Amino acid sequence: MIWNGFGPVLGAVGASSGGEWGRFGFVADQATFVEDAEPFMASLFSTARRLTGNQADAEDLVQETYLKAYRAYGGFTEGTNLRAWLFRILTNTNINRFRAKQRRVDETDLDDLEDFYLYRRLADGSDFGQSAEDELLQTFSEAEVVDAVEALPENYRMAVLLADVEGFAYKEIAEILDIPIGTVMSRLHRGRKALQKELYEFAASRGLV
Amino acid sequence: MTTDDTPNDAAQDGADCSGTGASSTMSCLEAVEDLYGYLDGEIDDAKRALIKSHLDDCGHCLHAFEFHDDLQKVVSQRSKTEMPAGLRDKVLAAINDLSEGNA
Repeated sequence: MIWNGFGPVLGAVGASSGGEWGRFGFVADQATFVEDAEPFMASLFSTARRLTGNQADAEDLVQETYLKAYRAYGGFTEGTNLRAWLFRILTNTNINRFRAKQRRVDETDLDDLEDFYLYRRLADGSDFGQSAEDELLQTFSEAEVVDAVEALPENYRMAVLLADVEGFAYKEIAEILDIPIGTVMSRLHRGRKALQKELYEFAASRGLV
Repeated sequence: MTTDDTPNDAAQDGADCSGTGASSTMSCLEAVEDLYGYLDGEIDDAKRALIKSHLDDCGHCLHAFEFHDDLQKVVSQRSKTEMPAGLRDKVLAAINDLSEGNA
């Protein structure tokens, strides 16, 4: 119910390549839009940075997202989830604009990863006490976590970012990515396994496991 | 390395530690199956209560849940990039330009 009114607007946003003014009939009040949408810019930027892998594209993506959102804001239904709406526009903009530049990753390997990849390797190791693996978690640097996240295939990366970093509910992620909840859960599941494998390999390369 | 393990092995391992608490009405296998649903707040209250009660009785599962909760926090806290100082003004100026150009 909360998403009523999003569909047509987002459909139009997704389809436009910029500047289809007549479509919405009027422009949202600028001050209102800025006041409502600006607080989410930092988290949109961080997500954009992880999605695009570089600063310049992330800035462009955020700017384009806000311009599209501003143009479509007149059709935005008040009381619905503005943060999720902005993330959906970001996602669609990223797909349309940056798809050609993105790395292709073989996703088939992810199916073979076992559940709880990192935990099993740490907690099941005979030379690890209960607190040792907790301490190991704290040794991962920002650079390692960032690299591990950015190494994920894009579909899985986005699910992990929206759930684990932005704290969106599965239902919201389903709306943002326009996929069924079951698909959200499977992407999240695979993404988390793959992320744990990346982190494990960092720990192994540092000789910690 | 145990790369040939089946996906259910983690849950299976968890199941080894069940049966220790008489008040536990949920097996380790069932608890671990819903680990992410629990951490993500995506299960109903009844199931949440069952898992909570299981975790009170089962240190092995409790540790697994806490580890994944901590991991999620590490990922969340350490994968963010701060917004560049000039971006906010740049975006607001672009909105302004758009607004004026179409007024």
